[in-house]
Amino acid sequence: MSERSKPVVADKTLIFTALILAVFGIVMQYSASSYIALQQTGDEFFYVKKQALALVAALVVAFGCSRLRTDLVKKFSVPLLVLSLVLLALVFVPGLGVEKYGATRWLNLGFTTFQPSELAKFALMFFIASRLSVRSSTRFRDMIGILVATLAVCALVMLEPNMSITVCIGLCVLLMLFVGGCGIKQFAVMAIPVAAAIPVLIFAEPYRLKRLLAFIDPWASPLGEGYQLIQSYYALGSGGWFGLGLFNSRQKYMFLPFAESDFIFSVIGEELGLIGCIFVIALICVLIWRGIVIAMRAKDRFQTYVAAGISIVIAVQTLLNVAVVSGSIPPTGLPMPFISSGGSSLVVFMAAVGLLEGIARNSQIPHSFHKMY
Amino acid sequence: MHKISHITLKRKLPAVFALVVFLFLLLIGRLFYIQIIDGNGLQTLALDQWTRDLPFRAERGDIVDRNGTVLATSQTSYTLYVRPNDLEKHDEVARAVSAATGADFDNVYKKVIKTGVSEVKVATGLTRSQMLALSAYGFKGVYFAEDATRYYNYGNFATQLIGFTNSDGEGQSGIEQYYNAYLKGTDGASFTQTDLIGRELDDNVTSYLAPIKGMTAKLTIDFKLQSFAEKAVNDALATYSPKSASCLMMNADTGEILAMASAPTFDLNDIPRNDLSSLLAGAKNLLVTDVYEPGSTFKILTSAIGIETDVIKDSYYCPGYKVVDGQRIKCWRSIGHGSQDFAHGIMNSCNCVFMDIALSAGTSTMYDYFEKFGLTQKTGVDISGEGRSIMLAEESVKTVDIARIGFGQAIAVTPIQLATAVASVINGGRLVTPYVVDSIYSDDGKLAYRNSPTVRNTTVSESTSAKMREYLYGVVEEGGGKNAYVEGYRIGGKTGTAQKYKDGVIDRGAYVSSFIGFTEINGQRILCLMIVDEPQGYVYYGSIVAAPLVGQIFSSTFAYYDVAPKIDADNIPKAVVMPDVYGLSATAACAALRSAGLTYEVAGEGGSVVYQFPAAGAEIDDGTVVYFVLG
Repeated sequence: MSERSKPVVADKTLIFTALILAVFGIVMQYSASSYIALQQTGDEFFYVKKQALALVAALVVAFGCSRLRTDLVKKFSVPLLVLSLVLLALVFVPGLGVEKYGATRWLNLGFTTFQPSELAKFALMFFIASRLSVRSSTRFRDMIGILVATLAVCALVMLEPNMSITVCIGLCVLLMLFVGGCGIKQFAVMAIPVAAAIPVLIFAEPYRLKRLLAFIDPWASPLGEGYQLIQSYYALGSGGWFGLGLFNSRQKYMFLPFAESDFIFSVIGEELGLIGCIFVIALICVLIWRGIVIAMRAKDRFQTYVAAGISIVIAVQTLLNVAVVSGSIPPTGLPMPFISSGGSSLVVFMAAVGLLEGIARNSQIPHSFHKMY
Repeated sequence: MHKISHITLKRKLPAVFALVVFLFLLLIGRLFYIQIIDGNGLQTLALDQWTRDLPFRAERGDIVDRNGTVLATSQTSYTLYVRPNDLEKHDEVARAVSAATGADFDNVYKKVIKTGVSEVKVATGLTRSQMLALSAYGFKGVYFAEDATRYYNYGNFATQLIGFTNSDGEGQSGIEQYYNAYLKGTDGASFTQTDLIGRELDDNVTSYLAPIKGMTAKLTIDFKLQSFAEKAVNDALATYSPKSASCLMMNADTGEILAMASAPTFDLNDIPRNDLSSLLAGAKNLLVTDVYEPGSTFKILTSAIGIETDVIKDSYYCPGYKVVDGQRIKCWRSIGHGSQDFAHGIMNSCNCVFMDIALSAGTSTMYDYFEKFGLTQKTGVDISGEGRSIMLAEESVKTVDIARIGFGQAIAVTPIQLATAVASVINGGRLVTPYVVDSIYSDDGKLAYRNSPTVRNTTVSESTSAKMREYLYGVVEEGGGKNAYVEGYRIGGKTGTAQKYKDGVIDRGAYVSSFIGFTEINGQRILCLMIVDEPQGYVYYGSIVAAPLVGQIFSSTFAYYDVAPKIDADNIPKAVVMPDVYGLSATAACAALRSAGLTYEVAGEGGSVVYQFPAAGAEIDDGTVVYFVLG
């Protein structure tokens, strides 16, 4: 198939779903943040404007990524991983790193801040994809490179500290290894150090234990550790089936912390109800489904793994976010892909969608066949 | 190189998708639980944090007397709150508040600039005009709440009976406490939608929930009779400077309490809250809470038991003492009463007579009757803090003890217990439960509660009761109760002078002077008990201290009820002049007073008179009980 005959957009469902989510996200962010923005800056659109700019940038980047030659991605997967590690390390350089809420997770780029862990997530996926395309993860010794890289990324993210991204990355790697052929036996062996590490990590930082307890019974400390979760429950519970109506959230009046970012899903639940929540989850599933379909039709193994990796990151991060918001797992701060406020997150996820589009375009199966799935 | 096949690889991808979808379904299940099953409960809790409410205190219900005279009522006042976070011009607000209320500007300013709180109470007790003046400024962040202030129309009146509330409007003592649930009403509130730190939302519509006024308690108290009782206890306080003086009036047939007064007291509109001990002391309803040794007033019960059990002898001889179990127990009159019949025994209040009756009846019978008279239990009056009587256990009562109990010593009862027991003696033998609240009805007139006379049991027979009434009339007409006599009316009663004990020994000079009297008005027998605790000075006999006060109360009562006197021409008292008996011997003094037509009480053991009451030359009615002290 010649380059010319390829459509501009290989998978319309994918890009439209992503766009709908991003725009819907901006609407919800406006609802969640307008009151606080007005109080803090005098401009109720303060956060939304930043996010809209980020969306424009994200679309440019996504378009660029869709035109990227995937063999270059494979070629540069190691340097990209190294760059990510360097950026993760730079966070700790005074003057460059930005500390917020007791954690140093951001790099100051002058005009904006950037979370290296957002990039590192995908860089690691590309690295794993390139390794798996060479050798499958059926045997332990074939996985050593992947595990070392994972450990390096996780260690640096953990130092920030950022437990949630660490967990997210860990789960993504596990799923990648599964796709790469890893069997029960290998997982069992890997489970031992992970199981040992979790209590150590928890007791190294006492706040994690408190959070753990708060998750089990938030009402024990309604104004302390349990506060955030209770506020999320209030928002969700007030929503019922159909919600209080768009822009009618009451929890956004400073009751629910991080309403526009990590807890945007609570506001969705409050304003649009369970129906709204299911709708958002369904859209994300469409996205993942498209990613998986693209992976299955990719031209080569590397592209299959890259597409799978991107789908897995979107899936895992959304699952974790909804699980936190609904009190299903201990609270950790993790944005919801496409929807939560946060420029770097949006740019990176849109770039990933762009890559998926690129892979879809390179796909051996004619575009018309895609619709059959 | 190990590589899995393409087929294997592409089978794994749908498996991952299936796993992801499965996990999402689990989370949707969780969301269903939170949003639908727990939803309402969570929203209720959330609503609570979304709104700030300011109380609208319900007006407390009125307390009125049996004729509807309002004794306690409520007035609406306003409390000024500010939400400092919402305030724009702190200094202007403070200046306006200080100008309107006269409060110090600096104090107000300190309150309105407070941080870290959502509401600050800046001023309380504002009148409606002050509230209107301040709200005319239209300040943002300034709110008013309605409050109800308690007001007692007669201030220092039935203080212990009515009681008072705390600043939150909760009854603390008296009727206010006992019937608090009825009186307090249901508070309302205003609800304002705010953000986390209490700033009002732009689209807020403040909603109001109207308070419901408390119910009105109608007492059995009669305002007029209460006034008479108040005057009597205050007179006693002024004349004898006692520790306390108390007066109880009761309808002996129904148990309705008509008046209940104690002094010293305080103004309910100006409660001495900063002096807690005197507040607690003054707030006690002594007639109900405290026990005392009734002394000779108790002889009414002993007499009734004697008649009922038929142990009354034709004649008694009093040499001034009685030897019981080898122990010589004195009559109050050391020279003795000589030979007398039972009627004169009561008139003379001769201890020997009542020792004899108690001993003849026996401990077991006496105690059986004490139980019937309700002395072993609380009366059940609807007043908080009713005291319990103190009695020797029946099995440990010795002969000397029952002899003493016969004339009202070695036993301690509450005044209300004695009053109900005596009421049963004069009302035909029905032991009623005393009560002070007649009915309670809501603001719209619906009856919520009604008290009615209840007879607990019978004590003595109708005939015993009839006899007792005659004997007690005799005490006032001819005996020691003469000072309670009101010309033209039949009044019965009995005096009492009891020595007080301190740490188990007689406290010299400390007496409780009392008189319990009754009369019949419009077919209702009305009982009046007057107790003067530790009158100071020489005069301490119940006949001198307490009896005239009861006479004074009954006299006013007859006038109030418009009962005409039945004047018997033969019985019109003559005015006589009190002779001077200073320095005379006991016998000479007695002879002088008798020849002047006066009755007398004697105290002291000396050879000559060192004190007399009233002073020589005073014009008094013949038959008045006068008093002298030997030294």
